[in-house]
Amino acid sequence: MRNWFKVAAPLGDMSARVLVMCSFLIPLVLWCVVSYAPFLWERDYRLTIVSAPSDTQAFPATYLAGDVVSDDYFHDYQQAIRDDNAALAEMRESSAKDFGMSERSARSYNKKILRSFVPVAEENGWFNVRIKDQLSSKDYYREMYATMFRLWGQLDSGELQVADGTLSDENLQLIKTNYQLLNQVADNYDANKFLSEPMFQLVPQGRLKVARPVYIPAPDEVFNSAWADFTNQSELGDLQVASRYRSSISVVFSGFLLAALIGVPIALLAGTFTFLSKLIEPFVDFFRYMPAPAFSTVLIAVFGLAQAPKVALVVIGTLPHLILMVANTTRTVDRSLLDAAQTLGASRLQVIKDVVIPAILPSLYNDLRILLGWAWTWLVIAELIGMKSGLTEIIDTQGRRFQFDHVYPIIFLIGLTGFFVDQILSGVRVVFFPWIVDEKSGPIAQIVRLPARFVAWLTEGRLEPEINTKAI
Amino acid sequence: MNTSSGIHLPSYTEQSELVKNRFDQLKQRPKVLEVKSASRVFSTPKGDVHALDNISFNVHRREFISVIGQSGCGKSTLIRILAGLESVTSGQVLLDGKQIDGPGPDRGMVFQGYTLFPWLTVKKNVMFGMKMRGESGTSAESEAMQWLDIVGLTRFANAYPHELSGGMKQRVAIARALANQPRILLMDEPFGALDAQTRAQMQAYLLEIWKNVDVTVLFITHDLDEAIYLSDRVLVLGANPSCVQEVIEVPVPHPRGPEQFISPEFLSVKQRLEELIYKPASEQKRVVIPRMTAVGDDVY
Amino acid sequence: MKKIKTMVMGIAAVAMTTTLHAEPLKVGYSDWPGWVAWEIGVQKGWFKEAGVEVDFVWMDYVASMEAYGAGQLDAVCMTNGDALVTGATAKPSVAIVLNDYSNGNDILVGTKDIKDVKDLKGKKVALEEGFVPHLLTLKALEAHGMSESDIEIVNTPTDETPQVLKSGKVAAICAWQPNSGTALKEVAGSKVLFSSANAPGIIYDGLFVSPESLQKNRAEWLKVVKVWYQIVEYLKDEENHEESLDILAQRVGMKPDAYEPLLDGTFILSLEQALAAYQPGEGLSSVYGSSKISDDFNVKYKVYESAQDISKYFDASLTAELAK
Repeated sequence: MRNWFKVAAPLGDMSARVLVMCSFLIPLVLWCVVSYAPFLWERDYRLTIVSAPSDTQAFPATYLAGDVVSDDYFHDYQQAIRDDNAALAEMRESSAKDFGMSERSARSYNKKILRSFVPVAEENGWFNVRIKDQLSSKDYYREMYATMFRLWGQLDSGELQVADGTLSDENLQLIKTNYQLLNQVADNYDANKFLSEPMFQLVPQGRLKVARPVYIPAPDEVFNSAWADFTNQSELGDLQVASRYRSSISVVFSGFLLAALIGVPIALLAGTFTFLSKLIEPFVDFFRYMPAPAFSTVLIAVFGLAQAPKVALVVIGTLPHLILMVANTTRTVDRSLLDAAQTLGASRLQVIKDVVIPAILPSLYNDLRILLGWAWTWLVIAELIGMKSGLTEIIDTQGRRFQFDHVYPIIFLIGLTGFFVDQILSGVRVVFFPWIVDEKSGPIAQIVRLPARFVAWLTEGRLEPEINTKAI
Repeated sequence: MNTSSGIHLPSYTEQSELVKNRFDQLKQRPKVLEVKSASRVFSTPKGDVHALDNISFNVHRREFISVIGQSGCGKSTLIRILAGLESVTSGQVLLDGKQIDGPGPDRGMVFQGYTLFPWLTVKKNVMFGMKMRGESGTSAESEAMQWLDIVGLTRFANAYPHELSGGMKQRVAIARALANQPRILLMDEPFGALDAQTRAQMQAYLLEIWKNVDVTVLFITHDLDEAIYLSDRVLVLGANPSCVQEVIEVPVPHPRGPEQFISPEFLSVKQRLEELIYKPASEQKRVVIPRMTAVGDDVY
Repeated sequence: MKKIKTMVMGIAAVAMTTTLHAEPLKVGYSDWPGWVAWEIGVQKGWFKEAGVEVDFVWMDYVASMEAYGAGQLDAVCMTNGDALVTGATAKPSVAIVLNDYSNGNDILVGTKDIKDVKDLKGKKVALEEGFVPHLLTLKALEAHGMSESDIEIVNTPTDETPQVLKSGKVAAICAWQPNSGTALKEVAGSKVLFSSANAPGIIYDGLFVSPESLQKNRAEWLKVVKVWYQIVEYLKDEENHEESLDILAQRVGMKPDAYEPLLDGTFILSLEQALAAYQPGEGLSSVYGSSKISDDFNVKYKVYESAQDISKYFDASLTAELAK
């Protein structure tokens, strides 16, 4: 412990590994504490049955099963539906029977009430919404309404019992009343012969849960949403995560490669010849302070709407840094190597080709690795311009709807991709540049190195240098 | 000539018959390198700096000549001019009678820093000069292996420079320079960064190589023993202005060996060099630093 | 070397695809229910059936107008008011389809403490200046005997208004759906202060085509209009209610049940209703009258300099041709 605070003290292998794990575990633990610790937040209800109060002035929002509402709101919400139902019962009693809605609206209204029972049916294992994947939209809804209709019938006759806590007695009574009404028109679901006057709405039901701000979804929620989104089972429909992921990666990598193709030769020349350095670098240095996103409208006018302006934005964001960094790297080449090459008879062109370029390659590789990280940071901004695309569209659209459990998996996906690409690139560096001394070859490098070692063994008969440097 | 210890030494100009014959022969050989009134002036904002001032000397074929002098006396400028990495502001530098114009493979150079190309294996480093001439393939490779054999490093042909010790690196650098078959080998304090033991071994190696390979050597050092031990002649550069103070013919007979370090001839040359290079004690200033200057009863 | 060559060519090809693919009609559409409805035609392949190649490009509303202004789109879905702005500042256009008018989807949402529009006096209201919500807010103020100087407007992109309202830094926001709905749902106690249902017809939504493209490809655009009324017919059929919700909701990434009220707040115009709205006239029942209000507003608030010739923005002939 005391050793940790020694300036630049080396760490043991084991404790280094533990610390690396902790650097990821600590944020995760904090997230869990914030998400699950009940003492931090008030209690809320997660809705299982939803309805739409007629007083839209007081209840303007549309709630869906799974949404979370506060304690106060929940009870007002329930009361509003009870009031509506009481009013409806009164109308039904009165001789006028004026429900204030057309027959068509009433049918639609009643279907909605049938739909509000779906979460309960699912919880009891009587229905699976996933059948939607196999059926056409029309078939699914027909099947769904028919099932709800039949279930209500079975509940009414007592043939079926609900599991504890999934349906209140109040709602069971309402279902029985509703079924009587439905049954008067037809004894099973028929779109053409369906109750055309309103029935009773189910009273909202919900379960108490730990309340949290919407922007902190719990790890399990995020994990479940991630699983559903990545396996095309999202409640939000097909989010096309895989193809969006490919699109995002192609924006980052094409932008980066294009920047490298343009920038590296320029930087090599600027780093080698002082006059070019003076001619190029001051402007580039100025240009890099101009915010790349400010060019977005121009880019759209020039490159159109698809991927091209996005790639161009990544290029604009990366290129100036690339030129300056690589030019600087080029200047760090050991002058004495250039002298040595010249005394060995190398021409100017040969000095660049056979000394400067190979000498900076390892640093260039590192520079480009860092710049690839830069390119990733431009991704979200790039994908927002013009036609929103890639993973960013999910982040942006769902973020605005406060569906943060769908936002975080995408953010993590981007982060992890960047992180692992960097780790792999840094891991295999030693394979490309076996002459680098200060490089530890990690497990990734060992694996990637195997074929290279085999080739070396075949061509040079050299497995690993067995060098005794003590002997001069 | 008496040293302070009172040991009598012969004059450094006295040469035995054997040594005299050797020098006579040497002077008859053609001149590989001629430096005629070479000067080098650097222009700085604070005025001109004369790095080299009117320097003239010759180097004969198969000669081993050392250049010594205080640091800052222009040794490095001189060797960079000979290599063609810099040019003279006035005067002439001729190699085999031809003006030197830029670096070229006819002058091999070994630097103090290990200037091996880190991305090339030892063998590829030795082949670098040949590759620049467009020679590669098996013949170039076998030639490189021969040079590695001469410096005793065939086992390490496929190692990378970072896997070698400092002494080994310099041997590769020598092999790399010699592989171009240069007319003259320019060595700029090549053993300066090595520890004493390695350095002694390297000196022996160098003499061995020089004996076996037809090459002329110009060797820069600030180590007096090294200069005397290795050289036929020692050229002493003075500082401010940097000019040739004296060219000493080393009266130590060949073949050379470590035991000669205490021979009278050796010591006489060393004494002379010390006179030339270091100022007498009387000219040294006594520095007074508060609290750090010794006063009174001291071990000194 | 060869590898590098193919790499360069590959990247160049990626960059070129857009510029070379200029063949089909390009239409920008965004997340207003009346425009999302085009998705039904796309999904059902009706455009192909009608023999017209249309590329519907899904964009943010403001970005789509910018792209149209930059000449990257042949047509864009806009409100009549925004068409005037785009025409005056970037590129003129002609409405060949009137999709709908807003019937409650554009909402002035107030926080818990605000009881009605009058309470907004001296308070901050977040909205996107110069666009529809701005107009609607002024209409709301006017209806309550107030003017713009009575409130402090915070210029905010419409899609960010829910977050702004939730932050508690403003007393109200004005936005179209689904943003207004998100705000109502996420901010406890927030309520509808005023909506387009209070002034139906103040905002018409249409397909605005560039005059050159219309002249060059009139026959093609006629087919597009025809598909639109195929969509309208489909939407009006009770039997298609759930399916159409599925298609619309999927396009904007919402759950179908959440999308239902949005569709209710959009009055989709039938062919006859559209033709009626195309008739020049005063008042909100005519798109001319509605646009006149927008034009006055835009000139008054210096969105642009001089009044626009409204008649140039509407072409009922294609719709009329279908009615025959």
